[in-house]
Amino acid sequence: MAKPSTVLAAVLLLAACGSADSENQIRVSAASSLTASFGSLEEVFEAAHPGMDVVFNFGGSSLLREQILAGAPIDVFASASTEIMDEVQSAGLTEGEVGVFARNQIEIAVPEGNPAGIRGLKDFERDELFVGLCAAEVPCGRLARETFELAGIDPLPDTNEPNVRSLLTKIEAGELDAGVVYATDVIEGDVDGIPISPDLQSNALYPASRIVDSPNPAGGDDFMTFLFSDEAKAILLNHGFQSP
Amino acid sequence: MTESRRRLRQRPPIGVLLLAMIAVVFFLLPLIGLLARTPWSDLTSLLGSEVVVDALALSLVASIAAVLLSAVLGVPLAWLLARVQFVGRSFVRGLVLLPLVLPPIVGGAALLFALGRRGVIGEPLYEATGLVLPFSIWGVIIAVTFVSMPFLVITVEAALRNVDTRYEGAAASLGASRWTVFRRVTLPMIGPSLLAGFVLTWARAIGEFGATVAFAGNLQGTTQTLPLAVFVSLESDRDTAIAISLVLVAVSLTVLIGLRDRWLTR
Amino acid sequence: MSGLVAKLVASRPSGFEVEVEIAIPRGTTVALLGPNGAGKSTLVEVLAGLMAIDKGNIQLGDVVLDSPSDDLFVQPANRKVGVVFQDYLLFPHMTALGNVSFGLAAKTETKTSASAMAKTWLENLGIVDLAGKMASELSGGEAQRVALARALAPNPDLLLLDEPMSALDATTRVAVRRELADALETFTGPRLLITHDPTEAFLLADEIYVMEDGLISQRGSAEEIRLRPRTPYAADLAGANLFRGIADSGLVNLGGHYLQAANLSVSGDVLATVHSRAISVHRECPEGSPRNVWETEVVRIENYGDRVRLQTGLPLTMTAEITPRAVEALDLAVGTRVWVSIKATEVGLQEG
Repeated sequence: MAKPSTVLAAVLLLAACGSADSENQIRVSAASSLTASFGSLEEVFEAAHPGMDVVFNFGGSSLLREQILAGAPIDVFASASTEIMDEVQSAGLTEGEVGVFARNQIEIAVPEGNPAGIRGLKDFERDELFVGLCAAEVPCGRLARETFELAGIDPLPDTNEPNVRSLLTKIEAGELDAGVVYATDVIEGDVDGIPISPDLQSNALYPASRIVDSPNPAGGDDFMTFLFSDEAKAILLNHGFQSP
Repeated sequence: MTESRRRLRQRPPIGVLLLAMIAVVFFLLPLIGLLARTPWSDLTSLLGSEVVVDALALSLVASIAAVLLSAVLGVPLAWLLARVQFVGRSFVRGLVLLPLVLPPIVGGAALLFALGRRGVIGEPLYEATGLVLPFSIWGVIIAVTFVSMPFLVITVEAALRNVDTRYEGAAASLGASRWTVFRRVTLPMIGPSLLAGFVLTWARAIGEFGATVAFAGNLQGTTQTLPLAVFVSLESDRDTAIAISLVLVAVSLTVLIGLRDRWLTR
Repeated sequence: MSGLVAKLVASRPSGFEVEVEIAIPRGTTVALLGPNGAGKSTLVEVLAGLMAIDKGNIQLGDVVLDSPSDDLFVQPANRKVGVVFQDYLLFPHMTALGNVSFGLAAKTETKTSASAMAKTWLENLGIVDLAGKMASELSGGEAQRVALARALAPNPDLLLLDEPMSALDATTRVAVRRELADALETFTGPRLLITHDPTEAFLLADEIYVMEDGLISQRGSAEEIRLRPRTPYAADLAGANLFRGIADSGLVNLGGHYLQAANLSVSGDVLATVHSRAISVHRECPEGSPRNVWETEVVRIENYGDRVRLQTGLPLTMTAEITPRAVEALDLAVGTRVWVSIKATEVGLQEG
C-alpha cells in the first residue's frame, strides 16, 4: 500500500497535468450561441489534425469572462460581445491579436406556420400578443432594444428571458407569438424567421483571442488559424452567421 | 457531585462538536463571501430601486400564496395518504415526491407543456376562458407551489401517522363530527409539525428560480421574483445582483429565525 | 327506558372474536371482569361506536345503535355514550375546563355556555381549581376526575368506564374508588365498568359478568361469583379451588382422585369448588369427621403478610390458605409432607 503522501502527490500531479493527453487537448471557451457552429468546426478541425482533441466550454459570455479573470486554464476565448473581450484584453489576459471571426444579426422568430400572423417589428407593440425578448442585460437583448429604438418602436414584451435558448424554446412551443433572437437561432431552432431590414439591423460581433499562460499554446494557435480560414467561414455562414 | 463530574455530564462529545462546527462553517461561507463583496456605500440606493422593490413584492406574494395553496390542497392529500388505504397509494406518494427530485427547470418546462397556451390542459382552458397562465403572477404562483407543496404534504403525512388516533376516537365519543375532530383535536395535535411544514414550504417557494423562469418567464413587476432579478443582473451589474441577494438572505433569515424560536420550541 | 341491551359478535382484524350477551338496566352498574386480552376493550369500542359488530344488535333505551342485519349503524358522535378511557385520553393541548366543555361545545352549546356548564361539573366533582390547568399537567388522580367529568358533562345515556383506576397507585385508588362509587350513584343511566381487579368489581358493581377469551364465562352477583365460580379464572378471583369431575351420589371422581361432597342432588359432570380456607393442614394424619383426608407435599409457599397460601402437590393440586402462625407451628417448608383434610360440606358442587 503506497504511502499517503505519495498517493496525494500523484493525484495533484495528475490534476495539474490533466489527463495524459493535455498536450493534445485544446480548451476553448465559447459563447452559447456558437454551440452548433463550433460543433461542426470541431469535426472538421479534428479530422484535419488527428490526435488533437478540442474541448469546449460553452456559456454566457459574461460568465466565461469571470472564469478567465479567475484564472481558468483556457487556450482560446470566443465571445459574443466585443465589450466583454475588451475587458479581458484590458486585464492583460489576451495573447496575441484579437480578431472578429463572425457577425450575427438579429431576426424575428415565430412559431412554425406563424400562427399569429406576425409581419414585423411593429407587432411587438400589440398588447394582445404574447411576445418575448432576451433580457436587456444579455447581448441579444441589448441588440434587440437598439433595433427597436432605431425603428422608433416601444415593444411590450411579456417576458425578458435570461438567455436566448429559453426564449427560443418558448417560441418553438407556441407559447410566445414572436421573439427577437439571433439569425443563427432561427436556422437551428424549429421556428420560422422574419428578417429585419438592414438599416435597422444591429450587429453582434464575435471576437476570438488566445489567452495567456494557457496549457496548450501551440494547439490554441492552430485552432485560431483554422477559425479565421475560409473553410471555417463557409461553415459559419452555413449556420447563419455573416462574415465580419 | 464534584465539579469535573458535573461538567462531564453537560458537554457534548468533542468529535460531535468538531463535525458540527465544520457544518456551520460550510453554511456560513457563502454568506461571508456575499458580505465581503457587498457595495456597502451604494447599498441604500440600490435597495430602493424599483427593480428590487418589485421583485421583493412579487416574491413575498408568490411565496405566501404558495403556502396557502399548499395548505388547502396539501393537507387533505396528506390526510388521505396517512389514513386511507387505497389502490395506487404508493404511486401517488411517489408522484408527490417527484418535484423534489426533478430539476426545477424540467418541472417548469413540463408545466409549460401542460398548462401553457398550447399546453395539453392549457389550450382547452385558453379556448374556453381566455385564461393564460404563463407570463403572469399566476404562473409564478403555480410554479413555486409545484416545487414547494411536496414539503408540506410529506411533513403533514408523517405527523398524522404519528398522532395517537385514540384521541380522535375519544373526541368522536363526545359527539364531535369528523370535521370538528379534525379542527379541534387532530390539527392542534400536529401543530408544530404543521408549522414546520409551512416554514419549509415557504422557504422553498421564495428561493425558487428554475421552474418560475421556465414557466412564467421574466418580467419586472409581473413575474420577476428576487431570484430571477439576481440571475439577470449577474449578467451586467454585479452590485445590483449582490444587493438583491442580500435582500433575499435577510428576508429568509428573519422569517426562519423568528418562526423557529416562537413556535417550534415550546 | 330499558337501559342497555346488547347481543353481539364482533371480531378484530387479527381474527380475535368476541361474543357477548349483556343487559344493563338503568341505574345499575355492571362490571365486566376479565384478564388482559379477554376482549373487554373490544366491547367498549363496539358500544362506543368506534368499531362495528359483525352480527347481532345493540340497543340503548329505544334507540338501536348497531344492527348489521338492518344495515343500521349509528356513528359514535351520534350515540349518547360517555366513555372514561383507560389512559383517560384527555386532550393534551386543552385545559381541564376545555376538555370537560368539549362534548358540550361539539354538539349544541355555544362556547360560553359550554364553559359555564363544564365549570359546574368541575365544582360538583370538587376539582374546580383544576379548571385552568393544562391536561398534560394533571396528576393521575386529577386526570381521572377530569375524564369522568368530561364523559358525564354531555349527559350521556350510557356510561362506560374502561379500567378507570388501573393507572393509579394503590393509595390513590382507594380514595378515588369511594368518589367513583358516589359519582356512579348519581348517574341515572346504565353503567358498565371494565376492570381486571376483582375487589373493584365486587365493591362497585351490582352484577358481574366474567369475560374470558371473548366470551362471557359467568354472570352473577358478587356473592355468586365468589361462592360458585365456574372457571379457574373466576375461582382464582374468588380465592377458591375449582375442579372438574363426575359426581355420583356425592362421590366426585376427579380423574382418579375422589372427593366426598355433602351435596347429593347433583350428578354427572360437575364443577367442584373448595375454598382455600376450608382446607386444614396437619403434620400427622388427623382424627375426626372430615371425609376427605390424604397425604401430600407442600409444593409452594406464598406469604401475603396476614395470610399464607400453600400449594399442595399430588394427588390433587390445591391452594390452601392458613395463618403465618400456623405455618410456624407446623414447621412447614417446601417439600414438607403434610396431611390435608376437607369437610364434605365444604365441597361445593355445581352442574358442569
